[in-house]
Amino acid sequence: MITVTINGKEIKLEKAVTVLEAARSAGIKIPTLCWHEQLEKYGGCRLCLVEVEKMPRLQTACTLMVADGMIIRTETDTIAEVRRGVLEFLLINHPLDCPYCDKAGECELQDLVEKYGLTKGRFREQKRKVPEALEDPVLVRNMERCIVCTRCVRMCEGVQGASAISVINRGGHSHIEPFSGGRFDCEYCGNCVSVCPVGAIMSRLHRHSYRPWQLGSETKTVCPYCGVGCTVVVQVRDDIIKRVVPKLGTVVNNGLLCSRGRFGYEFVGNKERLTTPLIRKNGLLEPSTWEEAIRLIASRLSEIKDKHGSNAIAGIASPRCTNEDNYVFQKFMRVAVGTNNIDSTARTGFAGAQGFIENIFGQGATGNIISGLANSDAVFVIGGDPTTINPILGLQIRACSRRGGNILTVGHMKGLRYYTPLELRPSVNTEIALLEGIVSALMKKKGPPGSHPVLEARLKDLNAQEADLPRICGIQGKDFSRFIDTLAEAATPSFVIGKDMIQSKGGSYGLFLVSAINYIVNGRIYLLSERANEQGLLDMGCAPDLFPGYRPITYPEFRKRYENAWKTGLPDKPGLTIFEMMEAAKAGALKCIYVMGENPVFNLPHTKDVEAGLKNLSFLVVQDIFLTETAKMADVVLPALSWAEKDGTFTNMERRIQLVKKAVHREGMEDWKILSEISSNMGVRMNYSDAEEIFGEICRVSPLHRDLNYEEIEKGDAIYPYKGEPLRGSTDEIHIEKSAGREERGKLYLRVERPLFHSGTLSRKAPALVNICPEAVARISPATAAALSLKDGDIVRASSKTGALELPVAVDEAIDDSAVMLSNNFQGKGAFSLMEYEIDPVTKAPCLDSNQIILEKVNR
Amino acid sequence: MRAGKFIQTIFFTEIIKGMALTLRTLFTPPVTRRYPKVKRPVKPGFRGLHALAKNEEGKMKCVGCGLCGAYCPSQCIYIYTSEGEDHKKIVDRYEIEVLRCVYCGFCVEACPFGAITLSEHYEYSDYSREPLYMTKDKLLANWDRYFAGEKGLRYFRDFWRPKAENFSAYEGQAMFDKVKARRKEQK
Amino acid sequence: MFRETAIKEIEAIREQYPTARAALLPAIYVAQREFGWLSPEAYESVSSVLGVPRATVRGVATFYAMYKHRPMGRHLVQLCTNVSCMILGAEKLVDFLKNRYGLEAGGMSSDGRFSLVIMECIGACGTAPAMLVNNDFYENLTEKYIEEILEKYR
Repeated sequence: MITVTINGKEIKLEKAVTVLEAARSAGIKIPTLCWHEQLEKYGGCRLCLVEVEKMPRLQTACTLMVADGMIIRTETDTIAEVRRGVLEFLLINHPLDCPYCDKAGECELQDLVEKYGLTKGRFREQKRKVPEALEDPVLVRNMERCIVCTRCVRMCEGVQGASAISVINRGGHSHIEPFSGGRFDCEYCGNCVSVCPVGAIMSRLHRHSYRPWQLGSETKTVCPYCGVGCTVVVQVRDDIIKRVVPKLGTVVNNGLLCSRGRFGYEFVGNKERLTTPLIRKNGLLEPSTWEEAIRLIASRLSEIKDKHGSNAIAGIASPRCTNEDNYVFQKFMRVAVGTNNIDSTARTGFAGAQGFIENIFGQGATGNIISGLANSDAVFVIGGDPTTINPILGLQIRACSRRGGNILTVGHMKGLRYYTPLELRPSVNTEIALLEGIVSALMKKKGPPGSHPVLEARLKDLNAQEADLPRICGIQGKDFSRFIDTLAEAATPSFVIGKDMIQSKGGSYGLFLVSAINYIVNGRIYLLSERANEQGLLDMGCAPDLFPGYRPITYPEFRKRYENAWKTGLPDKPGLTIFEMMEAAKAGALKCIYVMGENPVFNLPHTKDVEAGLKNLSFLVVQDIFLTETAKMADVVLPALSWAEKDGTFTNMERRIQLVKKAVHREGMEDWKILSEISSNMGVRMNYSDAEEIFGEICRVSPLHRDLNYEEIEKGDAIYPYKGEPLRGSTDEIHIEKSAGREERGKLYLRVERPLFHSGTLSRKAPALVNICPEAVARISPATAAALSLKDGDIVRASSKTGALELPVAVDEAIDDSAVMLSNNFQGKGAFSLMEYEIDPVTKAPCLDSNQIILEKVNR
Repeated sequence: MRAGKFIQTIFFTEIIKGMALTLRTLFTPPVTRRYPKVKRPVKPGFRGLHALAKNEEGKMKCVGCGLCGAYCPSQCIYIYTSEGEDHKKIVDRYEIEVLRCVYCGFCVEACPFGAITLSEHYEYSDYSREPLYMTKDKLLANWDRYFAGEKGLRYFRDFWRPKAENFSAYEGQAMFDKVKARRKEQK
Repeated sequence: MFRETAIKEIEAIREQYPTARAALLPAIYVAQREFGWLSPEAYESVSSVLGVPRATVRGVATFYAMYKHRPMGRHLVQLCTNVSCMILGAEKLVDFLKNRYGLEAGGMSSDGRFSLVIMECIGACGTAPAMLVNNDFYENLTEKYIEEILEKYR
């Protein structure tokens, strides 16, 4: 126990911390400019100087460690005089353009100058003049204002790990610059903006259109983009979102955000948003009224139900909608329509993979705390770069490496390249063999743990052994044994599994092998999730085989329970998955699909097939915020409210239920409201007054959410399996289909790129993200480029069996020689339009990795 | 006593006293003015209708810093700015709900550029609210109307020396007069 | 990108230091020699060989004034114009260099052969005017003599 006295107040401390931290813990504020609680100590600004008895000079509180018996004073006349002097030096070059500067009002320098009463500068020379750097699409640098506290640089290097900016030059000329000197070309996380104490680096979004004190309302809510579920604060002036900022001290992201979260909010106020319901009349979508649209939908649904049976109708739910919306959606489909044909794009990977892993390890196996990754001593990454798919989770992996943990990757992860990963880069389509090799090597090294006999029984007949790997996968024995040694020695390893793994041929077998590795070394599994509420959607029962609460439909006792709760009979057969829906629609068995907040034409592979299926329907309803590709084909389009305009909850990938709150007012109806109106028109009354009431019902009927309410969620600890009990044990049987992709040397395969700046439909409507990354490019390796004599920016015609696109190429060293990476984010230029798929028999996910592609140069 | 009172009552002495006062007042000049025919000259620094100042080039001085709106105790100043073509800040809307203004003059005091002014004009009334909702154009027109010529210069010379002048002088890294005064007080 | 030999050289340098960052300064010298000056490509090459982020490489390099941050000629002419040299006609020599070779102080000759830097006293006052060409020292300069000297440097 250490006892120190700060300003006459006695403070007891468990362990030695810095004087600054000790003072903060006692509620004593010491001014700082270079110090920030997220960053490394720097000791550069000299503002935190304090008096320590028996020390001859003033000491910097941010670097001085407390010692027992220290007597410290933080505010004396001498200290004030010194701080005033420091500020005077800072103001030598700092322009006093506060009236123009957007930071004024929350500027730390301004506050300090006001506090220490600096009224006169004695410096008589000219101030440094640097023009504002406006080359970048989302960030503006004003280096006149920079006080070189290097917070941004330390943030960029030490926390974000992008190392895109650095201090340039020396002395009075030093300032911050990205490598190019103009555009940042970085990860655009914008975390430099949130740590900058002055207005030197600022966001260009809504620039000059607000002052901090004019932001009328602040709403703490959850980011709408990926499955990490970062807490964000939405700041609004006159119902326009002016900025989205992170909040220090939140559980998931603790003051950090990524590009999508910070700069991707502008879709909310986009002018292209739907405002009125549209009904197809004479082949054209025409504006109409809510009443007419709802009546039409209700009557058409009843008609189809009577004529063709309930199972001729299917519903596609949305991982971007709240739990409440999805709950009402599945209730609507099951009760009002009477079918289990409910699915979502979670079927493209997440749903199946989670079901598969939970089958082996029990429910909740994938719901691990994200910040726990930083405390692992080894992180095994496979199937996609986590730093682009779930950037904040990626930061935890980087933090793990910084703390001395080992990063093990299968395949090359560009975002982790400065984190000394041990990398195994198998040749194309041989991941399965590599994983088999790892399993057998680990089994030899560590032996079977013995606690899961079913799984171990399955490990008896592995095809590939360690000795085969150099031949099959082209992996050096030296690298491999280092990899195995590190993995075997790890005490708390974590496994991060991306979609590419799930969507490869033999994906379920691959998943099984990763699970086996996880089992042998006793690790934790993280399943990357691309959409905000992918997990919640499944929990709400928006799957053909699940009731709310992740309850299998096939168990009669669960069905009974829901029949009692909803006071109606329920269909007992599992419905169609989203891919089966498209098949059935093409075959004519399905007559109607109700789509809520999803864009299947764009977000499902084999676009042509999907389009043909949807065209074949006699009735298509789309409920969305934009007129998407799917909405353009619909018979009725209903405008919904976006994430910022409604209340509800999202469940993130670690299974934390978090509140989404209304930040902006907009005329219109929430998704659940629209559905309950239609339902009431069909004769099944649903009277919900608000989202909280729906959540109340969810908590009553779903055993997963038992005893929860909004107040408890607000406290931030709503993680389930609630109260720690797993709700479904592991099963006795593990289904495996052994199959693996075939390698054909010299061919190019199309791979889905999952870029940092886009997520699909929403990000396309956010101008800032489009400005950062404006067009689709096909990424190829230097070797491919050389073989096809292509260079950066050349236009190519990329053709596969299902179509062809013309787009520019970019040469990227991070890409495998046999791969062509194309993202699925730009209208008419999506990778999915070039892809065919097969369905994995176990996970029901599409296998996308055997799509060959041919690139030809187009001469213009 | 009683007799005195009786005499007062029967001879109406009080009425005579009163009439004497009336007679005297008849020949003294009047205290009141015959408003609206006669108007009282306003004292310098009078706080009347608002106007937005223009500089020598005839351009609006306001840069949209929003300090007036932040300071305003009745919260009746609305400012909307945006990024202009040349990436400078431009003031799109500057609006004052005059009917809610309490004429405290804090906005004038807060303004670092001497952009918002209170003119000597006080005669404005109307049958609806709209004419008294001052927009940017109306406020700029007020400047031309009430601060034409020398008058505007005098206003700033005599009363509201804008704070920005403190910034421009070279011993001028000076910033907050308020703080300066406070420090003087402490010493 | 670097030639093979340069990569080998930097890797050898890397071996002598505890961390990659510590090896930056000598590695940047190699890059400067290879590319003639510290072009963006030079920074990126150092970055990819050492595994240090390119912005960091640039930040470190710009701290030091004696790296070549602009394109420079193959040979560096450092001419003194301090008091003694100035009295003995160094300023005329500066004019001569400008007229004869198109060399301006701080600039580069159009053929890329020379760069000129004006120095403040190179300690040769007794034999002024004096100059350095690369690392070679020349004294008692005249216009003719300079012409002869520079002939040697192609």
